[in-house]
Amino acid sequence: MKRSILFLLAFCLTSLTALELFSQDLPISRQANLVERVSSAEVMVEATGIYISSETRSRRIDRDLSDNGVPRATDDAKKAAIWFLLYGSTDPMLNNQQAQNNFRPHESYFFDLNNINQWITWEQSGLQNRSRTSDGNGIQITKRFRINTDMIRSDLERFGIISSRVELSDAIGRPFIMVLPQAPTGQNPVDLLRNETQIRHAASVVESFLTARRYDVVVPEQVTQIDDMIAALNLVEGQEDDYAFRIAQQIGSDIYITFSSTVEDAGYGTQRVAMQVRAYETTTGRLLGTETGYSQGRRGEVSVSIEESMNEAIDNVLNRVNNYWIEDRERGVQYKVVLNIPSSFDRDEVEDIQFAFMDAMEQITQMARENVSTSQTLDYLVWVNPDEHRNSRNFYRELSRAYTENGGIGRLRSVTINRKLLLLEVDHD
Amino acid sequence: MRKHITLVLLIAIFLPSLAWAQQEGQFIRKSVTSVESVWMKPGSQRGIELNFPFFERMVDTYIEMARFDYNELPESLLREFRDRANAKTHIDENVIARLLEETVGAEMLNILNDPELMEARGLALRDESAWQTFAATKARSIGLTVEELEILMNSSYLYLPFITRIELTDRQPAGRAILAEFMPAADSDDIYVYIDGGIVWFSVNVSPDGGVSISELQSISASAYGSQRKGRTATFQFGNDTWRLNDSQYALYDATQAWVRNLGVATQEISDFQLRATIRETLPRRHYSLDIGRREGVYVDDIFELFEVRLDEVGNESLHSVGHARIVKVGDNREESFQFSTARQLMGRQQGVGIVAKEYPRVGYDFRLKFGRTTGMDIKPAPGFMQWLSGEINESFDVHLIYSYNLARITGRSQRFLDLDLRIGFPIFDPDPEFSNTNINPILGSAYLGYTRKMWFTGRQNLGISIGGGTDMFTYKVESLFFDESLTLFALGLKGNVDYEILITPALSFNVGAGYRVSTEPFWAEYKFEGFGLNIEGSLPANADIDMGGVYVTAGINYSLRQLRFNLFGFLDGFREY
Repeated sequence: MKRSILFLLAFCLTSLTALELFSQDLPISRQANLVERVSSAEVMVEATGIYISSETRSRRIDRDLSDNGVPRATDDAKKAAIWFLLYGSTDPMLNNQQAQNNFRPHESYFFDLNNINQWITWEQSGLQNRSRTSDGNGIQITKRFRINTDMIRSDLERFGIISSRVELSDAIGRPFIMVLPQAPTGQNPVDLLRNETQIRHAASVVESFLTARRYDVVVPEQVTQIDDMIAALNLVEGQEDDYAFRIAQQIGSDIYITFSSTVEDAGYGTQRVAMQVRAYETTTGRLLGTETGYSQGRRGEVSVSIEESMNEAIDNVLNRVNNYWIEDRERGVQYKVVLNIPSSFDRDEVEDIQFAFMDAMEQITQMARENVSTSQTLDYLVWVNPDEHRNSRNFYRELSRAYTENGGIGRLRSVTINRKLLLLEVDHD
Repeated sequence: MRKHITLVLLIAIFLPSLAWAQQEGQFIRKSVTSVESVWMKPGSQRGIELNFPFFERMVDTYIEMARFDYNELPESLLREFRDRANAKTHIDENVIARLLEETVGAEMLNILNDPELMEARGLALRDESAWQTFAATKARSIGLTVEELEILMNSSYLYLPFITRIELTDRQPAGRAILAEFMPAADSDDIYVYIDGGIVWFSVNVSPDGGVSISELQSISASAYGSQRKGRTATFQFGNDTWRLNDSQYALYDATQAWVRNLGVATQEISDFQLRATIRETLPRRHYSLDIGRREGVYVDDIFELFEVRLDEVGNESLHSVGHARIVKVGDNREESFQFSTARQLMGRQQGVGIVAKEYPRVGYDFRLKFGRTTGMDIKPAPGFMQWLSGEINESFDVHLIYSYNLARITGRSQRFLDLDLRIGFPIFDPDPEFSNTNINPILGSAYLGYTRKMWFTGRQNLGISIGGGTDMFTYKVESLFFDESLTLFALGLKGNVDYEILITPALSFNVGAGYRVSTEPFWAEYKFEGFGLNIEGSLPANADIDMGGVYVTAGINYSLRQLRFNLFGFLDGFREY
């Protein structure tokens, strides 16, 4: 009995100590906000730090706060800044429960000031604000920091808290992203890209972000023969007037990003750029993420404002693209498959073709979703195992073989094949 | 989701307060434009007119401080403003504001939009984090943002001095009349010029769409007087400049300088113009680095009040005074903004980085009122001389009036003062019993010029060592049944004293001290005796034995003045350098 009580006491004591140590790692303050994304690797964060004196007498509290207040509150502000990036921002680094669970055992590393100081590339020497708080027992300061988020991300990946981009790329490939300006209805975005300097500048900023994060990216300035494909792609419903969607499908990008900017009067003769960035899934045109970035209002210097606003917007959109890519790739590689059945087949033959095609799909894909089914068209979204079908050509060959094996009439012929789209038709033997 | 909402709420609460706090601890340079006119209120001129060129010179010295950027308006617009103002039958601050809006408003906008001025002011406005943004780093842009422009466009001011009384008279000011009661020598045949008036400050507000509005910010006022002996032509000096002036003009210059100097201090007290800084470093022995310096016109011995921002339980912020500090070294931040000034804490508990410091303007003069007692004097009666005295005069009760001019702005060294020490002593004596019913009021007086150095050994305590030289005076008049006797004599004197001083408030301190005064033989005397068949009128009797020196102890107060109504040591202001 005595031993049990002693054991219990020891357990409680250890737990409390552990809890105390654990809580010391975390910041007291959780106040921070993103001032600016300075570059693809760095952000400027304004964070508040708090220090509460453990002294009880007024004079000693004053002395303690005078000696230790600002340095200790600054340490807390640094931790609060990191906490904000990990948990608090609109698109935090630990953006799902799994990552947060993975993070917990490594909390002490990430809130260790020695490590934090390595991630901070600049610290404001002064203060934004300093105030006495907690009935005069504490001090609260606000400071700005420039933090290298790439270094934090790299450490998160090193500990296996979030998926490593390199490993992810090796495992499931990198998303192939196309970037185009949002064009008014009927206007070709490629023409805009070719002719408008500011639009080209905005595209180059996105390109810079994407390449810095190791995405495969294309800005289709030199894409030709777009028009040749338009008629064929008109088979796809829902996006008839969207040039970007068609171009993305033709190029075969996994994702396409469009952007549009508006320049508004911000007062005192200044203009502010509002940049809207949208990311879509190419196969379906599904919106994956949208964000608007705003520049400071300034006189002239439109290129600076464009890049500034794009910096604000693109980072969050790319985070969402990345999340989508990881989730989607767990289901396999996605393809859009459109089968065109010529009108020369009679109704019975059409039905046989459809059944054989459906069976073939089910046979060789991990998941298939039928979008459109008419007497002339079958439109599918499918996910295939990348280990079995390393590319679209290979997938087409397997599909063709499976179609024949399932008693399909005629032969499957490819009209267009790219990374994401298989445009097929049934040919008479 | 809940976390995000909490965070958004916190940021929403926090951001406005941040802007507020930033403003508290940061001085934003102001753009100031003069209307180059003086508004003379009806009936204000009595016997003399303001000398505008000298007034302008004083304005340049005391009003147009280093903390402001100055702009000039075209003469044609100024003339239009004056003409339209003169044409008005009724004029007040609101009417002037409207007239300014109509006449110089558009030009003010042009001035504010001047690219060079804008860049200079805008860059001075930026804190270090602004140089770490994308625009400043990668884009290498130094263009101003809309937030910066908004501050610049709304930190512009116009000012118009006004006068409610400028009067030439021979009426003495109250203080001088009282002094003359005790010291007949202080009574003189002077003329005086009195000036009452002030400055109306207008703020120029530019809306985002470019609309200019001008409204009254604050009206400040001050009074002063100047004097000169009637009929005397004298040289008025200011720095290295001199003017040969007749009596009334001398008095006018004297009054003008004192008046404008007082207005300068009143201008510094306007909240918008008050210098503000933040403690950037804590140094040993309660010294701090403040991020302010010569660029803003900070001088050695300027006092700053320290404030702490406090948050209550609902997040409201308020400023609480936590002490005062005196500048002991001015940082030259004109080229390098990281050259901070050093301040030493005078009062309050030791503070840390981030504490807000606000200017506590003083005119640069201390006034000391001390009461004391001198012992060791030796004023003896002699046969036929001072027969009303039984024994000797060895002691006196003294009242010292000391005006101290702080030399720090001239020498750059802290806590050095030029003193004018006026003493009135009331001898302690026993009258001869025969004269017990006779009214006898012997008076001792001194006028010394001295130098004091105060050495601060803790935050609020100092030891002041003074030396000085001047004249001592002894005077009495006896009208008895037997004879009438009067004496006035002057002797040269030297003194040295040590004072211990402790601050009660940053401007007021209590002091006790002791010193020794050495007095020479009288160098001038006027003696009259009438009685017993004698009628003597001449110098000091040969058998007189008078030594006015001795040991003295004092206790009193020292007050750092906000304003001084007369011009004492004013010529030294022209030598201000540090």
